[in-house]
Amino acid sequence: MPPVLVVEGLRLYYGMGKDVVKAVDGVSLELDRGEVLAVVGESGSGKSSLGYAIMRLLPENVVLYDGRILLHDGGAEFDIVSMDEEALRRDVRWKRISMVFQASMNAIDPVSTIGDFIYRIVREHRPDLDKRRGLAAAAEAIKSVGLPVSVLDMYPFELSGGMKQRVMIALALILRPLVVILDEPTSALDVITQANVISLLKSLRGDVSMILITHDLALASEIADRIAVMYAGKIVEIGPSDAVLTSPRHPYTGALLESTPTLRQDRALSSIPGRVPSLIRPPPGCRFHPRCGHAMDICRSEEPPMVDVGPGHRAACWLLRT
Amino acid sequence: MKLYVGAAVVAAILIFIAIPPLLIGTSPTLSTDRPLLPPSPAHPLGTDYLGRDVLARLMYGGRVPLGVALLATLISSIAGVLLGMFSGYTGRWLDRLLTMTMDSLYAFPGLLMAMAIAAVLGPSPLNAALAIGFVYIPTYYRLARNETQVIKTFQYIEAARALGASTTHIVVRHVLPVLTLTIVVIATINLADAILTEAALAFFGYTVVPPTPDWGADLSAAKSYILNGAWWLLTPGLMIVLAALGFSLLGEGLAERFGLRKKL
Amino acid sequence: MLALEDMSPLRYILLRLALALPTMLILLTVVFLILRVIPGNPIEAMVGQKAPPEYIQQLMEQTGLNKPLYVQYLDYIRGVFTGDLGRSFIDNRPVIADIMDRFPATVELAVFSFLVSIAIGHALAFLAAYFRRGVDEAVRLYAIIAYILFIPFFGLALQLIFGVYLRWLPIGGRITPGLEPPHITGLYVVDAAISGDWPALVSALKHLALPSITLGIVISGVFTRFIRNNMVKTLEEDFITTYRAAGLPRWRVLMRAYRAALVPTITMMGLQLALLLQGAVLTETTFSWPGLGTLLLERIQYLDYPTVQGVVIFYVLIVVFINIAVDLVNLAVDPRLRRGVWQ
Repeated sequence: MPPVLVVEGLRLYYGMGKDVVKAVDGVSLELDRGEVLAVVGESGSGKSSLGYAIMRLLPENVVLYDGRILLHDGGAEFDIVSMDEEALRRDVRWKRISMVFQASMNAIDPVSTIGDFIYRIVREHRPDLDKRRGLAAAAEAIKSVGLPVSVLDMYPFELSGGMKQRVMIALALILRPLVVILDEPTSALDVITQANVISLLKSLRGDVSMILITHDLALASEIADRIAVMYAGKIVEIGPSDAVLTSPRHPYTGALLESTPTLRQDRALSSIPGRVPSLIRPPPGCRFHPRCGHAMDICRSEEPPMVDVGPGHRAACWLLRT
Repeated sequence: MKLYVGAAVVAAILIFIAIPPLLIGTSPTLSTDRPLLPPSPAHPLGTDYLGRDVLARLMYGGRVPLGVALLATLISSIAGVLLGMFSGYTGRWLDRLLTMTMDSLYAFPGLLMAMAIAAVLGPSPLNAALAIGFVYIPTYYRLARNETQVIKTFQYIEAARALGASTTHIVVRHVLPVLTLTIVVIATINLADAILTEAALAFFGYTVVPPTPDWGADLSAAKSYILNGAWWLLTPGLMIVLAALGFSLLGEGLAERFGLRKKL
Repeated sequence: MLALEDMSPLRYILLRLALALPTMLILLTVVFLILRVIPGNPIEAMVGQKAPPEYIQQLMEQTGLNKPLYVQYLDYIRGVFTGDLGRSFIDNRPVIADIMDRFPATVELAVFSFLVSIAIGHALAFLAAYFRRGVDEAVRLYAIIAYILFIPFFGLALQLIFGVYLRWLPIGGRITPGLEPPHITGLYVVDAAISGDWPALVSALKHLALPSITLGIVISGVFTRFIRNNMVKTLEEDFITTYRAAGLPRWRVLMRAYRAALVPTITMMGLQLALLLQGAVLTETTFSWPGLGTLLLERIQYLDYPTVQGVVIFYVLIVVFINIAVDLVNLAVDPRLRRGVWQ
């Protein structure tokens, strides 16, 4: 079976004043049916932009958007990048690919009840459903994320962060899409609520394919089948979770793992030297070279290509060429 | 963009009302020809209902509107800013009372209040300026008070207080300079409003007594006659609009240029 | 913040009325100061000093101006609350009667102008928010120019074009004399519609056209700018992204943004009432419209001091009550206010 989602050379640049921010600069990845792919990176790595780019939610000041995003549904194939706006809206948005936004956002309509909000979106793609049946579907979705049906009559300001996040998850799944992108689903939540949301996500695995965008390696390790590491707008390593976490092949991945605090080991806290790279003027050659302890001359001038380092495991580093 | 257009319009109007009267000898108050003549080389904008040259009346007729508007803006800005600064700085019950009063006044139609005051004081440019000046005080009060409350929290104010500076000293030497730019910009925009209010008062007859030329008053007089098609009698109205537009654009241009995003 | 769910609606309304009292009292006091205290002896100021002293005395007794100031003030306030605004110097009718005669005309003008302005305001603001760029710039320019259009000038120009040159519409008055519909509410349009008097309805509407378009366009300047800014700001909020991601068409997203920003919009509409009232005075004068504005001007000219005071007081009351109404409408519209929370 072909992967449900294939991204090739995706680029998203937007303008800020006179500068151009290269938020997503040539990203390629694939998502198989039923799997969870985590995209991890620091803030400023462009990972959130990647999520929006895949959804084709472009900012007002977009300067460049190209590449290919292929969505495979049975025999049909949709290229999100080049699709006509109306077709995208009608056939792809929410029906086949949906998104769960960061918990800190006010992503729910503030002047609608949860029920009306969900129904409004459902009705867009299922005009055949009248209000009664639409709300019934909403009720099912709400229950499936562990919330009481009474939530449907409430307004978002009456709900806690965790409850709102569950509502967003319910909404994202209600049309049974192929792919759901989750952007930092657990940040801005307290630890206990985080645990609840994580177990909810785990229970949904298998029915739907997920792209989980997060800075939290621990979260990725818990849920993800595969992990892609993003740095300065590019993917530097991608592979099965176990492989990436236990034998990382890119220095950045290794440094990330080193700097992640753990409860069990008694280890000195380390951090990655240097600063987060600018997406406006990224370092030449390998973008990580200014902070890399193994940087060689070639790293400073030429971008390393992606090479296979194991089954389904790739990384982009000049060290792997020797 | 707005800034330059506005400045150009304002400059043009100022030149229009100031210089030509010195060069062209036509009197705006003496009847020099037959009434209601359409534009011609002798009278580029025709004559009004009393046979006076319309162009001359236009040129002289700008002095009262602009003068009154300027004076009114000065009165309201000085009074409003002083009250606002001291009230915002001292706080407590005086501030609350004053703010409640100002908010109430602000909600009431300014023109109506100006009409009442001007009617009671009698028709004269000075009285009109006082009336309009009074009406716009709340605008400056609110601006000054809100800004002062913000500035009050800054560290250098606390430092000055610790050093024993008096309230007056702090307000005048430290708070006022910060407000000045905003006040000037708001005043410029407000001047446009003041011109319109003066024009309204003049239209009702509360500003000048005939035969003094005044754009608003002339427009009122024209009312009965344009219905016969004497469209040139509408030109005073055009001047009012241009003058208000000029100052409005100038003020908004300044606001954009200096990055001020005030809605009040 | 008052939370509606904590108390019965009636109690809330009473509380809101109570809160409006200080504003009302302040404004009434200012009017009192302006009309009675500043001119010294207002009767003399209005009637002139050449009038015989006995006449002045008589007028002063009639209006209670011979009493000490604080007594005058209390009588004045009592009069406002009991609806006794004195009697006109001209026809000795109760001022309140004269006001009520003219009030419907002003209401009609104000309502139609308001409708014109919010129609234009919304249409242009939506266009600006939807298309942005060039359209947005043009709309913003319109907003500035519309507001600056001096009402008498604009009104006279429209009269000239549509009334004199094109002869499509009448240039003054409320209705062709003789065609007045039966008096039910005093609002010609309503009365004519209710009694099925079509000639009256047509005439009334034709007479309303130019004045309400004049005033409507001028007021729309402020509306347009405000609604546009509001829309643009709301369109940047997160829930808009959700709707876009969910595939809602652009115009429907725009409607949701508008709905969320409704409270400031309604509040602003209420504040614009002040502009509408003063614009109406200018409009009435320009179009010889027999409303409160022209009443005020007439009576100032005739030195009918009680009527002048009465009309200004009436305006104060209108402003205060409309503000209360706006608050109540906002409560009905935005659930966040009802539960005592605002964002």
